Amino acid sequence: MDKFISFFLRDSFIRCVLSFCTILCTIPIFLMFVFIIHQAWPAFQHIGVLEFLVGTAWKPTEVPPHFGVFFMITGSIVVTLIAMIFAMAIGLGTSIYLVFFCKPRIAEFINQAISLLSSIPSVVFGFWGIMVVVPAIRNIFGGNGNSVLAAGIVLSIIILPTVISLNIAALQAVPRQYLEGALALGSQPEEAIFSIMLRAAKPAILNAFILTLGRAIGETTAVVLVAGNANIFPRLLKPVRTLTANIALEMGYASGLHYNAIVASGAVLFVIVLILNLSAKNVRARI
Amino acid sequence: MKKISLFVLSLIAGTVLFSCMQGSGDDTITVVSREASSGTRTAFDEMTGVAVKQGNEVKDSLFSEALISGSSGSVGMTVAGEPNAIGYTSLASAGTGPKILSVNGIMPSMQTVSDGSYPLHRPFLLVLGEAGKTNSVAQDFVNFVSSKEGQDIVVAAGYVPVRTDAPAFSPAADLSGKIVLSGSTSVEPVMAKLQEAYKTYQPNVQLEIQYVGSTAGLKDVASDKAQIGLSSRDLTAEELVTLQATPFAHDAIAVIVNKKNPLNDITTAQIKSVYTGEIRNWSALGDGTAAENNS
Repeated sequence: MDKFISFFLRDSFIRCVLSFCTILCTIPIFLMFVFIIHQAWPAFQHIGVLEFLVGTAWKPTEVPPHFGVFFMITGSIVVTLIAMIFAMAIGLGTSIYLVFFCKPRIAEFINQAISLLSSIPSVVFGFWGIMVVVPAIRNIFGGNGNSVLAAGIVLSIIILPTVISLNIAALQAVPRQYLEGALALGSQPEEAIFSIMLRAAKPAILNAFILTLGRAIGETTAVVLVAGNANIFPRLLKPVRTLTANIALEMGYASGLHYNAIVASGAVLFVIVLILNLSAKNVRARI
Repeated sequence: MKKISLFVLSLIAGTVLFSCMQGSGDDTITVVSREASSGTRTAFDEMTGVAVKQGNEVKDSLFSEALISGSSGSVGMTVAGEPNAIGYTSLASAGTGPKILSVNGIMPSMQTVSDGSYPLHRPFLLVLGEAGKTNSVAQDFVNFVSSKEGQDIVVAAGYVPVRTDAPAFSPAADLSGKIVLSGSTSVEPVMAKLQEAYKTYQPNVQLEIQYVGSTAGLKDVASDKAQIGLSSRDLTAEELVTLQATPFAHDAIAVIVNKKNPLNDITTAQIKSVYTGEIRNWSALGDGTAAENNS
């Protein structure tokens, strides 16, 4: 009996179980990869990779149908960049304030508020965007409000908590002695922070930027609701369609080549995020 | 510090410059449509001429800057929230938010759809394939839906029945088994009610309904994965060769605008011009019909 029990407590058995868990974790990624390649391949075959990537017409109901994701790739990139600019500008400022200037009790309260923001589901953000952001843009700038700007604003608020927490971690990783040394040498606190601490944290902040970029480019629900989903070249106040919105809109009904084309646009998204993650790894190696 | 404030200022400047480059008037029509695979959109495009058949080719000329909404409900919400918007939706889903326009002078209603005077309507069809025609359960369900009880449920759900003098339903005896129905999501509200009512007549029959879209549903019927197909559009000539369609309801497609819009009527030709982007301003749609814009 003892021998039986001790078998399960043996180190090699436990190690076996743990490595099994790990393998189980990596299987979904491979399965997803295989599924995407398998379903997207017919689309690339019939439409042609170049025609698909550079084509500007997405007309699945026409006979013959046209599938081109160029405007959607640029749409995804532009919306994400605008969101990242807003989020980094506000987020970096917030994280600098929280790490260096804020009193600890207030900092804790603000941290709670920010983590509350991160727990709100993105469809709620999309709804808020339709109710508040879109009419506001319509009143200030004219047009119909559903635009690149609306999607950028809503997306920036969604990724703000991530940006702030990553930047706080980046700033806290810089040794405090740098700041103390600079202050001892007579520099003003602001000068010390911006010229020394920020510069020292630059690789980590860049890493945070790239990671959040990968997350932002995949945001679907909120963007579908506020972006207007017109397949045109992105302009700040005109509607835009992103790759993720394209998949979400048409996945439910598509069949045949149309379905393959949608999975193919998912494959394009997959490749973009893969490239981003690989370049993040490069940047991390330099830290 | 200087760099960051410079950055923020250039951001503001850039935004202002960009917005100056837009220059859209207060009068511009905001066109709202549905995603490409929507049955409602296919029917609408065909009936208004936005989708044009030229021999073997079909050309889709929807205005490139039209907003695309993901469902009938969200079209209604977008139009109700924006003074310059125009959209289309199933009459039963229109709700009270937007204003319904009359088309060519005719308002959509049960009367005008059943006598055919309202131009924008589409049938809901129950489609039987080779396997379904010989399946007694499937035949019985089709009989139920075409009967008085079934048509009453159709009316209660807000759709127009195919006949007002339908006979009472006489259920086939001793039926049991399962059939699969597959097709359009537009018929979901009325299908759910029909399914419930049918259960009281035939408690031993199970209906499994999948909502995958009209075209996908018809494919399922053709390949015998489903016994009955649900379609919210007419069948094409090639589909009619092997499939048999029984209409069970008519649904009107209502053209909706914002309540603040003074427009009351629109012609089918005008609908086409608006949706292909030829007409861009409300003032071009007739005397004194420019939308008021409160900004």
